[in-house]
Amino acid sequence: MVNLDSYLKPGKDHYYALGLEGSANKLGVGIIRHEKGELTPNNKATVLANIRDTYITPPGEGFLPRDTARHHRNWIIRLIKRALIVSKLKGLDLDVICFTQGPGMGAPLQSVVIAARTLSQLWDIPLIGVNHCIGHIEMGREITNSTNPVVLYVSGGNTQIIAYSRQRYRIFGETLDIAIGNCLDRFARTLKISNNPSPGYNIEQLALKGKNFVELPYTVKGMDLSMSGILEYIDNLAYDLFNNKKNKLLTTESGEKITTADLCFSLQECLFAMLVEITERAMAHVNSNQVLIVGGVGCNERLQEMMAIMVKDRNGSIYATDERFCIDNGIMIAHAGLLAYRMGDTTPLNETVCTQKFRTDEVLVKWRDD
Amino acid sequence: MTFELVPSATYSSPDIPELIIKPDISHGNHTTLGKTTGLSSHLVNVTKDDLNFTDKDIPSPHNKESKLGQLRAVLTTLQDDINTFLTERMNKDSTETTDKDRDLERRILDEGVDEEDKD
Repeated sequence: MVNLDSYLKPGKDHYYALGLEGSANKLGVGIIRHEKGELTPNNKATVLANIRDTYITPPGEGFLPRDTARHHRNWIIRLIKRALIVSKLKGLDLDVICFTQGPGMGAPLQSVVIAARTLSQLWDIPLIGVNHCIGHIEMGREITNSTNPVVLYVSGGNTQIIAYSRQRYRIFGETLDIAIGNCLDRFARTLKISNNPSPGYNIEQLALKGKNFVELPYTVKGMDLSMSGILEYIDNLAYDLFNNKKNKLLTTESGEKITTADLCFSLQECLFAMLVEITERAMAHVNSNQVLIVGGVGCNERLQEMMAIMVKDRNGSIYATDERFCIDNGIMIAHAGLLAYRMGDTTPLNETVCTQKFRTDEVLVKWRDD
Repeated sequence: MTFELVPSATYSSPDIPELIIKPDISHGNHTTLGKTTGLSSHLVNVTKDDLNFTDKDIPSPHNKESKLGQLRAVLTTLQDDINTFLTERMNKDSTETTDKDRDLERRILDEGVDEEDKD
């Protein structure tokens, strides 16, 4: 069994970590406490603070790196101060400062790491760079008590199906082009619907009103999937719908007109069915009956429902978290960073450069040996 | 007004061996509201007719009583100086700048593509 306490400071029986996340348009600051010893259902991590501020753009607009970076730069210190107040800690109480090192958007990542470096030097506290995807996986496991699940990681920037094997989270399948959240967000932009609280949430609400399914391309490629063609296809349908152009796909067999709600419904059904298919195949491959859904799109209740139907057929269990933990947040970075810190890892200042590309399977998961 | 902490930046290039850029601290007119660190021109354009739009992401004011607060304000001035200097250099070079370079800059800054993927 892995010893997580070889580096515990003398006289202490717990750890505190600050986590800073800013790889996309969410800026998150979290503070976590681990008690000494193995993490178990009876010795769980404690969330002391988990604060998020989202950069929201006007309808029809995506978030540009430079404006997103500006948002993070101008809010990060205010959020850290608030997190310290909520957790009733001082900066010097922290054992480690964890930051998202990648993957993500370059400029926003750079803004946040500068805050991390500055605090590390001011308070003389070590830094640790965290892989964003590992943050999602470890926080999902901690919150749901799922021991060894197949992980479906679905967000605005990532779509991966992951399973653990010999100290790596290995990618069994993934998108070949755009991420599922990106596909949904961009369709929301086409429809010019609000980005508040998030475009995906508003698509989900519109989809609830849809009842006619429009058949879209179904593009599973082995264990991978492709979504850019589906987006192009449905964007064209929306264009025809808005411009009253004749298109037989926009009328049902009974003569009913297809609405934007129907398009949202169809897009979700098609994309989620593809995800369910590759997830089921991954479960069969690794002989697992647990599925953990993480990432912002994991909040979608229709996705959870469709996945639950498949998992129930296999007599398995499905695990998902609520928006506090599945949408990007600082606490997951604190948690995953602290696990690495407890195994003796720290990131020297000159190695804290962020990277837009950082694959999940690059990280050696020292804190597991099963 | 005295400043305990004064930042500076060093620039070098083939035609300028070393240039140290220092903010002018002979006056106290430094704030966190930089001239070059506001909204992108794209966002300014798309929101100019939207009466409901407010920029919620302006920086907090600096603490004039602390040396770190003062550093924040002077650093914003330095950032402005650097941005202005670099923009002037880029404009000077613009006759040599190809459309490809400009497209690359736009793709890195506005689309977030990785520099390694520039081609």
